[in-house]
Amino acid sequence: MLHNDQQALDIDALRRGDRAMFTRLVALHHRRLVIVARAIVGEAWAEEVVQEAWISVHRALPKFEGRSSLLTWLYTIVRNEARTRLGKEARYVSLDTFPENSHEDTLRALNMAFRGDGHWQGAPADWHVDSPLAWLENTALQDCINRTLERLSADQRAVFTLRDLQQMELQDICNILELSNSNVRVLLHRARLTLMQVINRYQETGSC
Amino acid sequence: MLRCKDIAAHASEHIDGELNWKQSLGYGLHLLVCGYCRRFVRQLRTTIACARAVAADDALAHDEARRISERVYDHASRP
Ligand SMILES: [Zn+2]
Repeated sequence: MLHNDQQALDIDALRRGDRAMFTRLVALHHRRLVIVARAIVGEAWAEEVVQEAWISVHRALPKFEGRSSLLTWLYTIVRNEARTRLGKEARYVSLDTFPENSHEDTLRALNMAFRGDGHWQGAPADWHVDSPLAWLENTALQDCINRTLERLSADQRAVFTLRDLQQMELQDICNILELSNSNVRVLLHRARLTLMQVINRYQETGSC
Repeated sequence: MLRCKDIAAHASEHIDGELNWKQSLGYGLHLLVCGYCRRFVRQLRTTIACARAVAADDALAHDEARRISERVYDHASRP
């Protein structure tokens, strides 16, 4: 693992229409683009939307000027393709996207306990190791994390993917998902805390 | 003075550098005096690193990618 991002894509080769390089681009980004499409159009159309987007990407690549990052450009094309698919209908709304969601709701939803005066009810569990890579030798923990990622809401998964995986700026994420800044923050925090609880449980019990 | 609950609520913004200077100052002061919250923030960082490492391993198999790429090039060569 951890090898995918390190093989750099040759943007000039992509612009020239190099087929092997285009295939690499597809391999590296297809799954992540589907995750983002899912948050915009829903599960049923996501794969098809991204397949169509690849055709647009291929057509537009010779004109890609590199003014935005390749990543932001790719996700924007998928977003536009998704929007076309939705037509005039409103954005697909997952159950998670409600403006009244707040960080406080998140703490409550995850049963994180605080006393009336706002102090921790109990100490956060002490983790034996703080080096994640040492833990990840362990495939059981990897499975736990993967399963948790799959169970996140479409919105949370998309925000996690764009921010923590692609390390995109929050503002770009807002533009791609057409969500407010506070919504994106809540979704991101909720996704991270959910993952944190899974790791917590794993380190306490040895299973998910 | 921020409470532990506020620290937990805004830990992602702290990690992402999204707090303004005043919030940051209050946040830092609390962390200075509260070991539980330091632990919490450290674990959240560890969580992000773990999840990122696991999720990064998500490339399509070469055959699948080639199938998509072939479809795209076929489409492009059509008149
Ligand atoms: Zn505290």
